Amino acid sequence: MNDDFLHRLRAEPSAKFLAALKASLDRQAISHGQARRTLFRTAILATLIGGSAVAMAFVAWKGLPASARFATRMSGAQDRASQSKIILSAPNGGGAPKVLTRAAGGDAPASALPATPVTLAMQPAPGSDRSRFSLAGPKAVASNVENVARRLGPIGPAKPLDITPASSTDAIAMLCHVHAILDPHPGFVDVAGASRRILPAELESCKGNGVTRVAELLLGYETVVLARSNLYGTPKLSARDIFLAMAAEVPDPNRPQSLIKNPYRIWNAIDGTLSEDKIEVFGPPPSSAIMAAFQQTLMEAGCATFRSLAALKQSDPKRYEQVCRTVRDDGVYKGMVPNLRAQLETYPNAMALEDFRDAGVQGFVPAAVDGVEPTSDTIVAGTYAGSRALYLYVNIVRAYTVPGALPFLAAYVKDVQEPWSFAALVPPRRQANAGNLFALEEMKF
Amino acid sequence: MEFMETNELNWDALYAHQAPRIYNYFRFRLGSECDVEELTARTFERAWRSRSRYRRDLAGFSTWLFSIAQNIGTDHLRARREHLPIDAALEVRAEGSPDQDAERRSDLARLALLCGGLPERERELVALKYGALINNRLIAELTGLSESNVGTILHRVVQTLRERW
Repeated sequence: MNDDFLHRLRAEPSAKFLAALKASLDRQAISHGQARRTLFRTAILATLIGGSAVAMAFVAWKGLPASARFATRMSGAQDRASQSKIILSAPNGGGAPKVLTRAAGGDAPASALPATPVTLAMQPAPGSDRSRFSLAGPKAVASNVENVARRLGPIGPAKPLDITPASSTDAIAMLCHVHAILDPHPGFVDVAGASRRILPAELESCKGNGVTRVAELLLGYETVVLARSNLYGTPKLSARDIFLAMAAEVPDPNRPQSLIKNPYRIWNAIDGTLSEDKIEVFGPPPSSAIMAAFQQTLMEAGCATFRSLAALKQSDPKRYEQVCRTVRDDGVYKGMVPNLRAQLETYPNAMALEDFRDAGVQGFVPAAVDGVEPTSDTIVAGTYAGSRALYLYVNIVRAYTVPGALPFLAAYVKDVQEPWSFAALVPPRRQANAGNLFALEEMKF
Repeated sequence: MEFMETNELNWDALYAHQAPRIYNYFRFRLGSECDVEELTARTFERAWRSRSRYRRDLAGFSTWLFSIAQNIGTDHLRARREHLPIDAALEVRAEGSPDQDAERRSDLARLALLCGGLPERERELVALKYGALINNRLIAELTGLSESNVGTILHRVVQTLRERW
């Protein structure tokens, strides 16, 4: 039955209208719920007020002003929780750097880095002729380090960071080069950023070149999501669905060994259980860090579900990268639009490729991938496919000769834990860097 | 689409899914954009107010929601009563417009004229099928017709409309 002319008459209601009506309905629901909750809340409030009054009375009775005692305790607790685990001892007699734990309430050892940013000043090493702190790494690492450095300002590195964009492999090679031992030549660095852990072979190369004192810092987790408006519930996709929706080339359904230009325009053409909606994804430009993370996490995870494509990683790595990481350019994937939120509210099928934290701030609902919703727990546990850990590898000997380098790293590790951090990363567990800050020879794989 | 969270209905997802359908149901039913938002809002407000009374064992959510929409639509149309004879449709010329929205509005007006000469029941079927995008089985439940009867009537109505489009 040719009824296209009738289908074409449909129109989407305006996002403004939908949002206003939803808000009105929510208020209606809340007003019903509020009546039931009022009594319960009153009881809780009374308990809290009563409890606080008892606590204040107890503190006053002990003879100290409440604010002073509270501040003292909070300060001590914060130091213990986040700072004491990232203090490096100065190399002493050629020994490996050690992680020192400052005794609670006690003074830091003279050789250790101070625990709070306020006291991060460090004297230049005698004989140091170079105070520039050089770092190479992927865009994601570089941009996060730069952002944090900007925020830390005076307590950051003494001189501006010298950042060289490089792949993880190249950055580690620049760190481990024989010319990077004491006073790196241009192009060799003090710190390497990586979107993966250093490999045993790279470790051997470092050792062979004399760069033996290297510490590893887990910066956090770069996480990307495909999200849609919170008006429409949580999308549920697999990494394979995402690859088939977003890749430029996909396996031919009829001859899986050969690749064809991506023909999928509708979600349920990929998988019959998905909705019969147009595939439409808004996102950052192809050169962005978010896109790089997307290509190397969700895209690759989906790509690897095809055995023939996964095999390319060994047999033809260049082809593997080309197939598994190239996003289609036929209009299904679009650049960011000015009012993304309104777009997503207007079109239930539309999704945005976003950083996990940004998506949360904007109130978008990220898709669960292979049944795993992105949360801090699933990201840190490594079960969410759209996330990858970022690391810094530090030439400890060099770092001690560059004023401000180690204080900056210590401050960075603290900063990334803060909700206001400029690092767009999901922070690692507070203990992570205490456990990972090994000297190179102590690292276990 | 997942509308169930354990044994509870996911009202947010239902709203997201059903709001555009209710909205288009009224567009098709009224043949204009006028009052469509008002009637959509009224439908949801009535449904939300009585959501505690919705019984899943008696009807699917769509059936329940569209029953409310039908009642609201019927009340509204009774109050308005402005149907045109089918002959008036012959005077509507097809004309292109660079502005897609304007074109769609013009097409909607044309549909209203074409549907103006149809019996009430057939206009309702068109609105449910193409505005609300619901299947013949559910339309049958809502209208009291048999499913095959719904299919037959719709086929005939669409043919008629297409000939005159």
